Amino acid sequence: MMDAQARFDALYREHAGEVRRYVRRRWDAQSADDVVADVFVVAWRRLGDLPDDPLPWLLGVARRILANRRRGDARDHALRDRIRSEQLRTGAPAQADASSTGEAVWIALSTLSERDREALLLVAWEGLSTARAARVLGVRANTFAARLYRARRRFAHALRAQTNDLSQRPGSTNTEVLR
Amino acid sequence: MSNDVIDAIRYVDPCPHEIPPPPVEIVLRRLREPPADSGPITARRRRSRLTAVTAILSVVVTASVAALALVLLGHDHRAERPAGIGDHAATIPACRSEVRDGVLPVWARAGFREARPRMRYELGAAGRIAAILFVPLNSPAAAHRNNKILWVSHVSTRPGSALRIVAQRMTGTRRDGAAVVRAVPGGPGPSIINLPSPGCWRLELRWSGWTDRLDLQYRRPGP
Repeated sequence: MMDAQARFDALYREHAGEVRRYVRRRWDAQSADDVVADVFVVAWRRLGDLPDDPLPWLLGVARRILANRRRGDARDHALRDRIRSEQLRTGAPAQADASSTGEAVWIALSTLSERDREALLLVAWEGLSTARAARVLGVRANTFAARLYRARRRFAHALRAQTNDLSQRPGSTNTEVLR
Repeated sequence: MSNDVIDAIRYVDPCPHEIPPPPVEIVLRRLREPPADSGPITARRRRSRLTAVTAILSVVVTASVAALALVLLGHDHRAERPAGIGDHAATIPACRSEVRDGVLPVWARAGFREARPRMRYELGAAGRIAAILFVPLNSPAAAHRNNKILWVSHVSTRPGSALRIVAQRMTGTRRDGAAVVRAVPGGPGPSIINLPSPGCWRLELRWSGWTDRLDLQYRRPGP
C-alpha cells in the first residue's frame, strides 16, 4: 500500500497537467498555476478522502476555487470577453472564414447560463463522459444528462442565430457550422 | 441530437493540446503561506502543515536527484519529455508588464473622488494587490517626475506591516543582474519605487503574511 507521500506524488504527476489545462481554459494563464496550487493543497489535506477516480473530484475543487475567485475578483471577465480577446484576436483558426465561425461559437456560448456552458465545456473540452462530468458538478448522472441535453439545444439555437447574423455581414465567407 | 454541437465547441478549445504539470514547488509554497482565515494555528494544524511540507520537499529532492542522474548518465531527453516536478525553466513565465488602462477594480477605488476612476494599473498574478501607476515608469527617474506607485491590497492587512519588494530585472525568463530590495513602510499605499536600470522588472511582493508577483516595465526617459 502506498504511503501518503507516494500517493500524492502519483496524483500530482498523473493529474496536475489536466487540472492546469482545465484552469487555463477558464482563467488567465499567468495566475492559472496559482489556482492549480490551491487545488492540490486541498488534495493534500483531503488525501484520505479521494475517490478512486480522482480527476472529476480535482476538477470540482478547481471549479469551486475559480468561482470563489470570480466572486471576489475584479478580473471577473465573462468567458466570452476573456477568451475572445486572448484567442480570437491572435487568430487561432487559420482559414479566412474560421475566425467568424469561432466568433459565432464564442458568442453563442456567452449567451448560455454558467451552468449550461460548464456542462457543454466539460464534455467538449475536458472530454469527460456524462458520469464523470456529473461528478465534477456534484450532481447525479441523470440530472447532468438532462442538463446537457437542454444546454446543447440552447447552444445550437444561439449558434444558428449567430451564424445567420454573420452570413449577412458584407463580404462574409462564413459557412454554416451546425447542420 | 448530433455531435455537431460538441465539435463546434471543441473547435474553439483555447488549450487543445496536452500540457505538462506545473512544478510541485507551487504547492509547497502555498503550504507555507498563511491561511486565508488567518486564525490561530493549532499545534495539530502546525504539525500537519510541517508534515506536508516535509513530504513534498522530499518528493522534490527525489525528482531532482533522478533528473541529475539522468543528465550524468547522458540520457538528456529534455526536448522530448514533458516538464516534471521541479522543472522550473519550463514554467517560469517570461517577464511581461501587463498594465491596463481603464476603470479600477471596485476594491482598489478607495481614496479616488470619481465613482469609476480610470487609471493605468496592473494586478498581481494572484490578484491580491494592484499597482496603480500615476506616471510612466522611468529608470533613471525623470528629473521632475517620480516613479509614483499606489499599492492597494485586495486582502486584509495588518497595521504597520511593511510592503517588502524584491525586484529582479529579467530578460524573458532569465534573471539579469542582481535583485534589489525596496520597502514601503506601513504596508501597501503610496510609494516611490525607483529601480537602477531600465528593463522588465519582476517584483516579488510580501506584506502582512501575503505574497504576490507582478512585472513592471521601466523605460529609459526620453530627451
